[in-house]
Amino acid sequence: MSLRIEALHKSFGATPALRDLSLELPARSFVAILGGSGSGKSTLLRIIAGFETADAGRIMLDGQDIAPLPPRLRPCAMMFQSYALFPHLSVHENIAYGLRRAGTYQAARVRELLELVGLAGLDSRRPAQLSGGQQQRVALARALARKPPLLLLDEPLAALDAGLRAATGAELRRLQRETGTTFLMVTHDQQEALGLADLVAILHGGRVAQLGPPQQVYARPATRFVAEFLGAANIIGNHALRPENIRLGITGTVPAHVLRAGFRGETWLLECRTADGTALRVALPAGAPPPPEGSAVMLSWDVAAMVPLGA
Amino acid sequence: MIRAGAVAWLALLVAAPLLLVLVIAFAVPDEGLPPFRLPWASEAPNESWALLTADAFFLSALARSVLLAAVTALLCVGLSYPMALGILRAQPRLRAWLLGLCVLPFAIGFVLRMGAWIGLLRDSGLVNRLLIELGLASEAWQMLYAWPALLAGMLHSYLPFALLPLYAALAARDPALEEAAADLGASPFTAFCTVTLPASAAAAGAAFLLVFIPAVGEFVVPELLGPPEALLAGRAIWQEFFQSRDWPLAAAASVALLGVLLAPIILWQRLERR
Repeated sequence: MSLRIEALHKSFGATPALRDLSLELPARSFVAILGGSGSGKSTLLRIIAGFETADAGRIMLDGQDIAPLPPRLRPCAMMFQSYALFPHLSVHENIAYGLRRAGTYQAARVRELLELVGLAGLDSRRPAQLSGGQQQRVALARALARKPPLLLLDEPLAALDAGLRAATGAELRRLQRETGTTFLMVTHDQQEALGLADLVAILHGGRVAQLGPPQQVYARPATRFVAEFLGAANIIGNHALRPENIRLGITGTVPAHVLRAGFRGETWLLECRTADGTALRVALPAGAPPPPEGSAVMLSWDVAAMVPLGA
Repeated sequence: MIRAGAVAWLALLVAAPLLLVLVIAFAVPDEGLPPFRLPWASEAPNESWALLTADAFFLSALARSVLLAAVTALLCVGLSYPMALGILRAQPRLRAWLLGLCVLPFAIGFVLRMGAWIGLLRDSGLVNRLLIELGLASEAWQMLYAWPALLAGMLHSYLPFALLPLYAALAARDPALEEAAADLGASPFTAFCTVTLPASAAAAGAAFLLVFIPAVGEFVVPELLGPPEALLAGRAIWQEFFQSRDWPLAAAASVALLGVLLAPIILWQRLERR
């Protein structure tokens, strides 16, 4: 399976949602589309699924343009943010729905899927009788039932409690590996995107601002937007500098004083101001107490840590 | 306080009239005002219940009423689905206007609306004149005082009772449900039958009952548009009350009608709880 999106364009009225967006996904990969609200990420997913029609462009799935097909004839499957489980059907029938439409229903296949998502034995429950995490897994099993080559996931973890999110994310990753399905996940959460995906595409204003492995887009942001969107990067002139790449000590090259210290759990994020008035954010390991607010510090960093930014 | 008020309200406006009707149903008809004697003040036995089932007159009127109400309610619900789904597909700004257009005729008096049907359907009415002008008919086609005219009037009178609850239920549904069905390979028709319809079944049941219950007792529309031979329960009760002045019989028929109406309500509540 390979998905290649070519020059996709979509406007709602006078407002463009996607601007000549092109994107290529390698087979059997886990790709995250990361963007804020209004970035066009949901529109992109809905166009691939067929719920919205693009004004221009092609969606090539294994060499075939699926853009003219109605949703039901597209080989991809979608997992909805609201899960969209059929409230009047049992868990078993929810998962069987796609199989029945295709005429390939087998009770054994449904039970196999329930086992795959760790819900064996819950066949006869109604969606309303399940917890949020269980509903999420039924939605996943339903989407995977027909072994789609491409699974679209719309904010799959957004509706879960923070505590469940990490475990469920790892579960998604395991399922992606086990099924060999290409996962295309839309999210606004950078931690989620960086932590789960093989490739991250950052969307900004209807375009792909950067596409690359998580480590690369984090360490080498291509644009100022990417640098700021992924972590609290400092922008110095035409360069980005990560807060964790700044050293703080008695010796250093840049004198500054501490304005504020914010506790982040694993780190302290210090807001400092240098002698020439530049604001810099500095991350410190949370083991030791931070320097008091107002105190003078010396900052230093490697020139190699300064990442040059594109437009 | 509020609870006591509600109980008093129900007792005054629901229980008391009902009790009155029930008592009259067991009374004996008499000359004078009111034209009956209370059951304990009369030596003659109450005959209204025996009369009710003595011949097929009331029972067939009741059966016709139930059938007409069921057909009306079914057609109202059937028409409401495409209307509600169509309105919901429109731009959000337009929806209130479209819904308003559906309900607007009800700002006009009921009798005027029925009068409009008479104007349309009578022998020298608009439709017949048009048919003759266009050469599609050589003489007037008798449309008024027939079952189709009656049904048209019933639908026109009761449609909002089905449309509004169904619209509210369909507006509150997750639009992703139908998208999920399409995504899983369902055609629009299959998605409607397997998802939209069953997921809104409770609202459809409510809409059906909201039309069915008042429609069973309807007697103005059949009077104005229906065939003369179509004796319905409402008209039968009216005749007993105002023409024969047999109040106990009319009251007994009313109680029987109420009994018939309780059955679907209880059934529906059972289904709802499930």
